[in-house]
Amino acid sequence: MERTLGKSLGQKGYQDIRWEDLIQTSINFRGKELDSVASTRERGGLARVLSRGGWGTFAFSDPDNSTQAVNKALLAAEAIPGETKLAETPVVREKIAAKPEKDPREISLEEKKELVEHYNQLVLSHKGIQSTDARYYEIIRDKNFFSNEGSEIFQEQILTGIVIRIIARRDDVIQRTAIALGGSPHYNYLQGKEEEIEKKVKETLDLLDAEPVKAGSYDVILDPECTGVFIHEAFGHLSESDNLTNNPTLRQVMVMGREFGPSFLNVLDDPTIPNVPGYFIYDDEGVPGRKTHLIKDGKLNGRLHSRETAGKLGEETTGNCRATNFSFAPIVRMTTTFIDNGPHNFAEMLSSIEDGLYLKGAAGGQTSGDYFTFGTQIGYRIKNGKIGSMVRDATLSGNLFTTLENIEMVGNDLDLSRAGGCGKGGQILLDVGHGAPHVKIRDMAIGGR
Amino acid sequence: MENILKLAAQKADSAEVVVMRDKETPVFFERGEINKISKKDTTGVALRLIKDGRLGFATSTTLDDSRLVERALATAQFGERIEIDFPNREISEVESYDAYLASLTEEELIDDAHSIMDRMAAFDPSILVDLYINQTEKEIEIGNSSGFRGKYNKTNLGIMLSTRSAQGFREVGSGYSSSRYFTFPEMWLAQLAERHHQAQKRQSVPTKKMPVIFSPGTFGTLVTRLLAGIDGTNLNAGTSPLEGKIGKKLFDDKLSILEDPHRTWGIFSCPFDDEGVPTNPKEIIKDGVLQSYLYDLKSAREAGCESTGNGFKRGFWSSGAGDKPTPTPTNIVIPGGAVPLADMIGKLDEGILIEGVMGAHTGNINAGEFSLNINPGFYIKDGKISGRATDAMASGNIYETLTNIEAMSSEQGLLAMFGPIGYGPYVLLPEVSVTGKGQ
Repeated sequence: MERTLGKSLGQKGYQDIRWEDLIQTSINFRGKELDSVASTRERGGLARVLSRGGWGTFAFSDPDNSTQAVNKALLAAEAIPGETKLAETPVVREKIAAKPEKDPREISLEEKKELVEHYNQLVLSHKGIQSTDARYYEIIRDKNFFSNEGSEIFQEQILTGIVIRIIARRDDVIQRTAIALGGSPHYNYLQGKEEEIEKKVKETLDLLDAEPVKAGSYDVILDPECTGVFIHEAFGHLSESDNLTNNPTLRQVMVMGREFGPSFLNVLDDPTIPNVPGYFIYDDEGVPGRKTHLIKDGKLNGRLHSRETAGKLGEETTGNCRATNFSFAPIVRMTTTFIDNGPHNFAEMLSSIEDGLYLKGAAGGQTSGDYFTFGTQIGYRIKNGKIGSMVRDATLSGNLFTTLENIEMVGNDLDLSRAGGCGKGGQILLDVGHGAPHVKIRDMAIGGR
Repeated sequence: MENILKLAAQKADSAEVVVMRDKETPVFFERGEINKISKKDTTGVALRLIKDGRLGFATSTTLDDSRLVERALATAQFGERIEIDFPNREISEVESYDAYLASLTEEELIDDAHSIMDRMAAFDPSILVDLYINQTEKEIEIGNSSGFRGKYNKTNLGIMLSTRSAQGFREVGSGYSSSRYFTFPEMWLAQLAERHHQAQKRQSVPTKKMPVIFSPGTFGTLVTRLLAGIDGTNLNAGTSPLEGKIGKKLFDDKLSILEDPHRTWGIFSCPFDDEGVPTNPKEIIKDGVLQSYLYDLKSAREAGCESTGNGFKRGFWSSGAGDKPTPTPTNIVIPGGAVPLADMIGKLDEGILIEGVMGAHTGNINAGEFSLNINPGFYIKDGKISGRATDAMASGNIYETLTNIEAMSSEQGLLAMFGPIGYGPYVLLPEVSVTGKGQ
């Protein structure tokens, strides 16, 4: 049936249709109780038409409505005046299968339940742990793409992982952290993670004795997970070219070659890195994903594009046009965004700080374009080059231009996160990867009491 | 639906089918020009069944999915142990469907958007706004093996507009959302133009405790922390600080919070929740005293009480048939006070008016912690707005901060946490910890 969907497309302007079959399995423990086991299936498509100045799109879940969906998308597109030319992309006819080392589809539901139950019990066996929220997830995506330029792309994607939220409590003090495992097609990446979990449990229990952080400006060392969220919020979103197409003043700011940070700062976006959540071959408009060097040696070097933004800015496509699922039109998004290794190491960073903070573990972030904020899970005071007592509830924020300039050291221990969800334009929890080595940043604002 | 229920009844002890149909017509404008229309017409179907005391759950995007029952049965083998009875109770009518709003075509929505932008231009033609107008129509239908059959329709109109800074970033915004068609009020456009002009002067702020006025749109972020505390699931897990606190005074006398699913044309008004339990209005906080918790069927059973009609398939990050129901409030309503916002600002020697925040979802929400980037906010000096506060954060814990409320405004707006969560006033808190980069 899916193969015939391409026949719904007409010849007026550019037209494409995506059809996705999404099977999700989840097993969720809350505390010692099994909270839910679910198997959900969603199927649906989205028709897009660009005949004049902008996109008309129509999302539908009944495959019999595909021709009607294309017509409605065309009608909407005709209501948008102007003329928009898409950047060229090769016509592709390809079928891509996921290649899991150990295929989660071949593992029984019972075995998956036992694995997450085992980790859950491991956490709960520690005194002081009040509760958990331990979830196994598995997403099997069958994505079909047809365009009236002739492309036909079938992509199978598998994502499996375990996320455990750990909640510790003593009297009225309640602290929480989270650990993510997997985030790849490989079931075996979820196994044998006891040590990692034990470490996180200990940190969570230690948080019960931590003092809330005091408000102020600090020199900080951020761990790879925090830095990954930092660069995603502080620079990744600004690299999305849909910010620029109708924004003459911002285009003046985002001039190639402009200095954004120190010479040892390199920022990249790369969907071709396997085994992290931001991986794919073709994006949601059939463009091959490729590595984009956003900041090279401290200077602006590239940005993320859809065919529309690449066409409007006269630049090459990058394969960054993505949708959370079939019910959304794709927009410019990140894939796996990271800071590359630099010349420094953790010991150097530590010894350079007289009075500061070492912050670990991400707890969500947000950006307005020029300002960003993100939460952290665990903090330590740094006094005279040594790690001291624990602090909690540290949330950082700042202006991205000054903060990038304030990066003083970039470590050489790049690590990519195993989970990442990004929200933009109402499309939330798109799978993205991020990562970095440890970095040291001068004079960061931290909210507190 | 009847076919699925019948088949499920043969193979399981009890069953429930929820069908959600969503139609949407969002139209996007950038700097005054239309650039995208993203329509939607999708269906979600969810089946819950109980077999041998275990719950099975499966979803689909069509009622014709022949394997839906089979997949739900497969998960029931390993499913959670559960002892809920699907309800079959009387429900009342709630006004939430506006036939006129549902009848609007995309041309009419585009015309409305242009008229708002024309009216905005009358205040200042140099301001080019980004605008989003969205018409939605939902149909929710529930049937279960206890014999309940219920259906209601719901419309919504959402309008958001924002301006841009000289650098091209978002400056200030305004918006509204309602089940019934509305004309965007002139007063709010005037205020948006005024705030845009006030924002042109940047103002750094000192790090210290000072009075802060939260707009309705940002006060929702603080209320959300309280709502995590009255969530039945968190209470059962022992992860809420509000366990055993019913009848206790937690906040300033001036704070009362209602949860009102029957509010006329309310954004979340509905006759029954997503488990078929009739909804009913209740007090959450009265004069600072905690009155009630929110439960769905499952958390109520575990707590040994009745569902409060708050089992909704709607969370922070997703909503739809595929989500499982969790204790979720409908319309949150905070009655306002007697002070106009202008007077609140006028009597402050120094303070901040917060109109937007970032980081509403970060930090230890259950414990009541907040640490928010103020974006946008306005620095108040000698009773006047002196410019847009930049590089500033507001932090605290609601269980301390909200014990002292100076005033509530006479104006009401939409309480929000990313999206709208209800209705409330501007709230003046006399002592909030602010982190800034100024002296």
